[in-house]
Amino acid sequence: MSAQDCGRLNKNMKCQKCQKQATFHITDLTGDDLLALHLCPECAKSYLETGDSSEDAPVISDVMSKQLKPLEQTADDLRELDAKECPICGISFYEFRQGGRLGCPHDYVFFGEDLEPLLINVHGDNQHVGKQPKRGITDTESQTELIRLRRQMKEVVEQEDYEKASQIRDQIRQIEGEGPAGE
Amino acid sequence: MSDVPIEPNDIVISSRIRLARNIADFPFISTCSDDQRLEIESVVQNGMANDEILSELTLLDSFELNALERQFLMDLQLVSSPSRETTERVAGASDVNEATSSEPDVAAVSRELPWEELASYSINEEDHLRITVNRSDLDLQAAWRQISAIDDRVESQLTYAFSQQLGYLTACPANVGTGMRVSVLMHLPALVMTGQVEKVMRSLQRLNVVARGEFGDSAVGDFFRVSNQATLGMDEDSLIEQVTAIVPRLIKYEREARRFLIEQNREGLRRDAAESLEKLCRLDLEDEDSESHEDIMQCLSKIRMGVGMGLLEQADADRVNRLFTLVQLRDQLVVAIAREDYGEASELRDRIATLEKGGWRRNSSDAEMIPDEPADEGGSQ
Ligand SMILES: [Zn+2]
Ligand SMILES: [Zn+2]
Repeated sequence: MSAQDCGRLNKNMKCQKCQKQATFHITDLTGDDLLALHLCPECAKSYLETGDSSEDAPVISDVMSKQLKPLEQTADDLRELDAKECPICGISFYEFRQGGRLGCPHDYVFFGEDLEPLLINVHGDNQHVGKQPKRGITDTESQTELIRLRRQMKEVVEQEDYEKASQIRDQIRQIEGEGPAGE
Repeated sequence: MSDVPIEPNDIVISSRIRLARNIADFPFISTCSDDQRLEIESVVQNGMANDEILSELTLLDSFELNALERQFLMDLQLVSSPSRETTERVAGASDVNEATSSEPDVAAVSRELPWEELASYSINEEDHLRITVNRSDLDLQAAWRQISAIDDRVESQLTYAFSQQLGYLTACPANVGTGMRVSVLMHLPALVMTGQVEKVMRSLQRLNVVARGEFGDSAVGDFFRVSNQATLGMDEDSLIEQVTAIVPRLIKYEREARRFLIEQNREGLRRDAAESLEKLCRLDLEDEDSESHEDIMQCLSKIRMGVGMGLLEQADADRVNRLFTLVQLRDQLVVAIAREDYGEASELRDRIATLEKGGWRRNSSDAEMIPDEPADEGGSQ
């Protein structure tokens, strides 16, 4: 039985602040460890009402906006980084900083180094563990290739070149079909 | 993970897992053309249609999802009493107010909610595909098994954007990795009233858990959703564990604050709850504009807390139940229409009409509490 539980049952427990009988047993979550407080009604009231605003843990959106302004960079570096554009979807790093959304899966490769500090800050890690697709994992390159091919396929369809379109379609199917051990 | 899942109570409302997934063949939504969005929609829909299980899933937009989540808040068991065994009593208490059997049985309504099947998905919101499983209990392991099985099936139809290093690739880097948000919806009015909620929320962040107001930034109605902050670098089980571990602590904290409040001003709390009930009965629950929605949520919050703390009379609790049943049925109607299940929709429409005729708005102490006319013979069910 933990200390708090005992405290709950102990009628003679003294308030930790003034030695009157403690009737409130409060678990303080703000410290690194959970802290059990045993207080009388008056002290509990003042404790609960004051709150504690000295702590300032960052909110995820703040983390992002802070991280997205790489402070260590010079203005020139930043301008250069901002101007960087993904060749697949065309999004610039500046646009990403503004909107907080990437333009395509390839951005994780293309802006890889630039995103790293952000990932570390938000997740505390930069390596996935956990579930993986069961069918063979297409590497990022072939995923990029898929986007490229789909775009191409659409262009040739617009030109009514369906022969070419069917070739591209088969190429797409081949890439998508790679790896699936399935049916 | 050995812990028995916590049952929902007056503080814990529901739990949810959501997976963000993108299809490898397309750019993310922000850079998609309108044509591409349509194409994504048809690729996903076709994939779903190809699988007998997936084709049964419900496609919901955010509005419909909100309606669904509201159902949880209305759940009879959550408003009737802090102890679950009273649920039966309330439901079975065919007292004077319980005019005819054609009036929906409140308990039956809750049980009827098809939560198990209510896995749903949305297309082209922030990510190409988001799969959601809601539960009315806290069995997040079961939710994970269910959503992962759905995910496997989707994956056999579509090629996900995935990298060995970063996992499932998402439009926002904050979701990359597992792409998973595990969350628990909690009602923490006493923490709000005692001014502790911000402190608690900040402390959660150190434990890698985030809590946000569920209905708007200002946490209208004191509902908070507690979820994992990181999605990368931890596997799904660990993320579930991380969020689940917080819940008992928050319950304990809220209970202490409630006990504190009740010792300070029991009568004030009771009056607040009773007045909120009167007010809620006067409000137009169908009015979807945000101001009245806020009013509704505020009233709901006070009433839920009042019932949870045993401050309202049984007769009041019965009225609350009727009221919530009505709201619940309306929300179910929204969902039925979204599912194009018009058979169910018409049944729901009739049940709503019956209930509305029943004069549920009146105070239970009024002499005229019995419905003016007995419900139609063929009325419902
Ligand atoms: Zn004291
Ligand atoms: Zn891109």
